[in-house]
Amino acid sequence: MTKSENNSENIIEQAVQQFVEAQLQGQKPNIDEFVKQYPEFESQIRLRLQNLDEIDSLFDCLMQADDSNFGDAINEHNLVGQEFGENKENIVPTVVDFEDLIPGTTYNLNDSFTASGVQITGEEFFYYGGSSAAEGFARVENIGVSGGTNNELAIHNLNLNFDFGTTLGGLTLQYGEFGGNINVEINGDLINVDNFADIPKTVGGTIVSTLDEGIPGKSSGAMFIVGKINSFKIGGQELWIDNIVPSIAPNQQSPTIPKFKILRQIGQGGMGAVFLAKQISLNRYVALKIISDVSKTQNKSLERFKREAKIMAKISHPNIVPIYEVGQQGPYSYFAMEYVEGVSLDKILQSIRNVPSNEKASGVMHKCLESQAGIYDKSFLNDESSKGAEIDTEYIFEISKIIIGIASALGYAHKKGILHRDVKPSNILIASDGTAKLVDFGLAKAETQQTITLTGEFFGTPNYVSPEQIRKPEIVDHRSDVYSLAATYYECLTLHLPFEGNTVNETLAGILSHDVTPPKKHSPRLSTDFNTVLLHALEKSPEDRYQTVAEFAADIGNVLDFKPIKAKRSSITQRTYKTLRRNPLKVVAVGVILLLVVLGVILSSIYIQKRNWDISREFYTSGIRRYELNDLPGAIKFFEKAVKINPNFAESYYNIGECYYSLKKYNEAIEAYNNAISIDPDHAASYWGLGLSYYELEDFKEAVDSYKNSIKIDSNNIETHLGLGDSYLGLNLYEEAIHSYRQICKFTDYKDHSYIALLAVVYAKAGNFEEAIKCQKEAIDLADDETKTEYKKRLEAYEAHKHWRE
Amino acid sequence: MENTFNHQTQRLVTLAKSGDEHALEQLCQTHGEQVRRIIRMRMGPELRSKMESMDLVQDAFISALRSLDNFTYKNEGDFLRWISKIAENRIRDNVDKIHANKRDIRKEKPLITNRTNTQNTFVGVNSPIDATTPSLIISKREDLNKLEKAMDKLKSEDKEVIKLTKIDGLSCKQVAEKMGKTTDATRMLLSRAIMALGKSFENIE
Repeated sequence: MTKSENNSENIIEQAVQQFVEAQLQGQKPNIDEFVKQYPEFESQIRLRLQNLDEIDSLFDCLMQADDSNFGDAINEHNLVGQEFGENKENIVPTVVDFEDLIPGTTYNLNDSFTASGVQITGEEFFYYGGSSAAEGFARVENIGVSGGTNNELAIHNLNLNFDFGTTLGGLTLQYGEFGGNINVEINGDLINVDNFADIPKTVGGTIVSTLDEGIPGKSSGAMFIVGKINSFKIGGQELWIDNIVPSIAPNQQSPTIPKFKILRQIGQGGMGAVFLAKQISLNRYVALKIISDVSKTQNKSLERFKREAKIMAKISHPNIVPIYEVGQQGPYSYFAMEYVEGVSLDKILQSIRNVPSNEKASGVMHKCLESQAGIYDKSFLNDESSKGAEIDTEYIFEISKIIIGIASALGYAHKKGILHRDVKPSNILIASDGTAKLVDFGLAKAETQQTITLTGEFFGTPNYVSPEQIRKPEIVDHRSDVYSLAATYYECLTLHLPFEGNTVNETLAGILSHDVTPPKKHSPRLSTDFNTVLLHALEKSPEDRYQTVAEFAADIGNVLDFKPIKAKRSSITQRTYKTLRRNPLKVVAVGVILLLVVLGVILSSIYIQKRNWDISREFYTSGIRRYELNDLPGAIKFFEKAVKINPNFAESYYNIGECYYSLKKYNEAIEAYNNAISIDPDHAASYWGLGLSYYELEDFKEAVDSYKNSIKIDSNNIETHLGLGDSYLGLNLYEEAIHSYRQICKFTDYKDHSYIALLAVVYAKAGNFEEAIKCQKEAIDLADDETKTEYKKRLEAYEAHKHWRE
Repeated sequence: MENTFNHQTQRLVTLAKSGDEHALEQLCQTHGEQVRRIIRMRMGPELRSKMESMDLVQDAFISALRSLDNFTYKNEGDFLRWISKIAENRIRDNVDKIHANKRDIRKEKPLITNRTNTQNTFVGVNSPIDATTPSLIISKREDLNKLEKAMDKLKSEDKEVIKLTKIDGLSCKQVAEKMGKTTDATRMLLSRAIMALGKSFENIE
């Protein structure tokens, strides 16, 4: 530090200390008068003191009441001490936390409101969310009160993002699409107002709209508020809306602010009015934006603004309208900025739209700049042929230059860490010399707060807001400004907005989830490169956009110079992927629906069948259990239930047959076996059952056929061979019987002597005693001692017969 | 510093005293962040990090609110001071207890906690206050962090005098009595402390 620097630092420090001490002593030194004593160091001292002021306000913020905590407090007299009828003591504020409400559910106020003394009857609360493409949208409707004369409904912390549709006693407030027009409907009469402030009676920070008498008792109607309602209230004949910040109404008397002489109003925004004023001390014209400082929210915004204004005051850029001063006077906060003689871009665009298509856009723009105003030729307004001026090359070139200039300003600010957050045509001024200047820098951040909460400006023009700004306004970065600038450029080139909805929420939904209409569709003359550059800058996801305004501006330059552009056209697959990523549910849902259409019948029948299978299986299992318990009639019932559900259940029919067979009901058994066979022609066991049954009925012929069928399917069942043999015997067909019995003996492991002895019997019956004796001897070899004796007796008999025959 | 009066707080305090759980919850929700900030500002960086890491604020704040019986709402500053003092004492007790147990919490958790995380997990606030409309205190989060850091850099005497005036709401005269100095000397001390804080604040990025 040089000696002179050191010296001046000492002067500044002493001055600041002098000021602080004066404050500590209870004096209220005027900062402006004070700094005048040090003309050389005015700005430094002012900055220091502003800094200390900020520290103070931070401590204040710690230790003072913060109404924003309550989601805008409702003044005491609104809640306490008011006549609530008989239950005066028990007034409990009614607090509804919307986070607890389930979307799509209808709530009865009587359930969720515990307030006694507040009489709410028969009204419904309907929270609606998620069905809109834009997340966070919510609707409250049909909030009302009825009965009695002391109806009060107070809702705090109505935390809705972009809520709309709040039904309150007979009053409809609706934001228009542009410029923050509000339609106020009072008892059926629609009154068009420019601002909330125009609603009758403005009291403090609360807009009170007087309803006609007789409303209590039948309060119902519709109020559409886009934005955030922190609290509202209907009481008696009044509607209270907190947190809607009234602007200074045009017809209202101009506020007085010392140091400035207000000349005329030159603009009206959501946050306040803009006046042309003369800064007396410096004898210069300034644009003075005055914010009526009536709500805490405003303070909050102002705090942010002040901080950024401080930074802004230090920087200067040819495309930024500098802010000279920020201050507060009585109920007003104000800031003075350079007065730019020119016209705002939105006015130029409006003019271009209003003229017939045989005019050239560049010509209209020049006329606007000359006259420093928009061209409003009423004769064209309702003319069908007036589709706007022709977008000519000169215009495209000039507009692009403007956008590049604004991009340069934004890039400069971004490097300083400041976002604009509200880039739109109305914030771009074109000075008479053609220079584009960005307005409301620094304020933008503060204003975002405001716009998200509730004023016309934002909701009149949500068209330029980036998707992320809608979703998470607190976390946006400079790429959000890229988007907004691109949206502005898009409008300039096409005279259309990237997203055009009939309502604000339609627009917001479009921004969030619809594809941008390619600019070429609106202006076929635009080159493909313009198309590509714009679409790239308007990507939903910040990562997919130009990463800096400079990149965006450079590519605009490339298009103008016919150089290759950096942005790539996204392929269809990319776009599909993006759509998928953006809206996975939707795409997946479409896919699923298609799949269902194709596979619907199959899927459903399989499903039903599978389900039936499960049930009939259960009956079948129960049947088997009954069977094992020897409850044959019970078992039959279950098996029958099983086949009733699943008529193709062959096994169940077979088991019915088994049960009937055991019950000696052979005919029923035969029917059941046949059912099983008709379903499953290869059901060997059923043929076997048939054979047994027919045998019992002494229908040996049928029995033989049945056994034969069974053996055909399964030749390894000894029992069927035996049964067949028996059946042949019944038919006195000994040879066949012997053949059948012989089959049994073929089974290598079959050494049961009883069968061999039986065979001997059959041979004997057939008169072949030789074979009978042979078999009998075989049987005797295999048999145990006791049986041997028996068999030997038979053998003797066979031998005797043989001898007798001989 | 003028004293502000908030009807809403007053009403909630009255309701909470009468045992209204909901009002208590509301108080937690509406004042939690403010109280947390006040305590942070009062404590040094070391204690502060312990407080954050132990998540003691919640607990302390709730227990402070439980002893509302002894409190009558006069103005917002009073209320905040009262509640944050109780909460702070509770936290100090807890920290002492933990020390008595010979547990070194620094080993358990890093000193510098992720503040963005703690931001969202406060007393009775099931969900963080809607990000689109942060309360004043939350919207000033960055500035308050900066102020905290600036305070940490002050000499202890400067820090003390600022705490007494700006947080405890004492007048110069009261501070003078407390510090055993003349009012003029205190005022000088305070103005220098303010200047120092301003410089410190400016130098923090």
